[in-house]
Amino acid sequence: MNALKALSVLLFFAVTGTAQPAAVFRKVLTGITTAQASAAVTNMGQTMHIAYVFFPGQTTTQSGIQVRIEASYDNTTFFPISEDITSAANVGGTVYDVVTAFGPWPYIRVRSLTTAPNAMTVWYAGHTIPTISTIQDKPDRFIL
Amino acid sequence: MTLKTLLLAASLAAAIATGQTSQQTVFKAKVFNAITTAQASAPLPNIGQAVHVMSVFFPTAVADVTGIVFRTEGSFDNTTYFPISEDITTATYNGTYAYAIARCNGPYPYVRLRYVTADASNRPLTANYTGSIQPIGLVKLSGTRYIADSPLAGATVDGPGLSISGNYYVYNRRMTPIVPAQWTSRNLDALTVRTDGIGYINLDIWGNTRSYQMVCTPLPSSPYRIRVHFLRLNGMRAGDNPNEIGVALRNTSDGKFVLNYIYLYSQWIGGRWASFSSEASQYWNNPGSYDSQPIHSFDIQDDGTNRIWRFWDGFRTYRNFNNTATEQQLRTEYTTPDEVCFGGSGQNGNYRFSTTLVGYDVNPTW
Repeated sequence: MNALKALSVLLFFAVTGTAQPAAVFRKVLTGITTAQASAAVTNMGQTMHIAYVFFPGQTTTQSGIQVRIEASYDNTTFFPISEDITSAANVGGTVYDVVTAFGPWPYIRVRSLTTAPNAMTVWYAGHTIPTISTIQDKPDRFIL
Repeated sequence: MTLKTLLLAASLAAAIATGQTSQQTVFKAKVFNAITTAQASAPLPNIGQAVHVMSVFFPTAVADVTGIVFRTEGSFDNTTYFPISEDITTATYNGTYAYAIARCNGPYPYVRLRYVTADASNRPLTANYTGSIQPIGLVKLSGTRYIADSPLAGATVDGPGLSISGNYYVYNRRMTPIVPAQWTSRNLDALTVRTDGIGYINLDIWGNTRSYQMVCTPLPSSPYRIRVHFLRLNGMRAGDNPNEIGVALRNTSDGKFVLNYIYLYSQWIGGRWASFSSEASQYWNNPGSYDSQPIHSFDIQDDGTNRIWRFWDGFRTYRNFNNTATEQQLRTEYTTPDEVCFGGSGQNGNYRFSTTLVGYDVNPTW
């Protein structure tokens, strides 16, 4: 009977544990001003990658930055898979910008290549199904 | 192992197999239920969806509901939210109720709906949400119904324009399609026909005196930049009393306006008008022909001090005179406008003429 109970518990967790999430989110760089790269993000086979660059507390355009999404096959040699974000404007009261990349890669990270004028925070979002075609720049928002 | 144990293991294994199918869609009915005030919802259920569909209903409405602002917002920390959708500003009446459906994309840890500007008539609003992992195409208004495109749909024809990935083009010029309900008719002759279509307003103008017949919409707050796009008129004739078409900035209180209009084939005249039928004086009168395209785009800027008139060719703005003062005045010169108008003067009694307003942009970023 004890063995049966143990088996039931194990199988219960197996059922609940095998549901695959569709999205992964991670704050990859927090309040940075220096050039650096994040660690590789969690990879669940996502093929759509989005990086959001924020300047919390700022109200004016932040220029002179260079942030991109990069990929690698060996977690050593990385190459860019997105365009660079080179500035972040005040969009609807928040200073931020966004860039997308697509494709399945074993290792994905976000990299800031330059110093930032003020503390910069970068979020990464990945999704298993590509749903975004273009990013529309509006006066007060980005429409994906 | 007993038979009972085997059966139990088998049923649990079956449960594992079904449990591996992840949830694809999440619904939240009545995110807002009969509300009348501006407010934001709590974060919506999140299964990692990257497609968000919001629907708003006004069950007691008996006509279009306008002047509202409703949107979807996203956040990474459940504190700083930002808009991730276009605003719903009109709910279309379908004969039974007024409603609107809109879709936006993007995976976010936190998503909410927000009623930003409530209906001035306090009609109750109910809103629902669908989140999907699978993509859907653009949701478009067709008559009085909302139809979602297939996610595989490419460029689609919408009225006079082409929609590509959410952007709208007429004659290769990117613009915002006209929402006819936002344009009020002014001084239309009884024999003039106004036709509202998807993304456009056509004026088929009749007249035999020099009097401007227009459609107008409120201007944004200063400073601003607007672009007005229209298709070339027909029915012009050199010689006797040519028909005219143009764009005006008008004051609804005193009825005065400042106007830039096309005269004959490609001559542009700008000036002051005391009323629809009374030209007071001119800013410029260029007899040269410098615009032969079938579509015209006026770019008018109010920088907080000056009013600046330019043309836009789909790529850049430009002025025509070396003396920049010619196409620039103080923003309050002659009158302080509160609406922009498009229309024409059908003074040639022999010829009707037709012209179509196809786009209007407020503070464009392109």
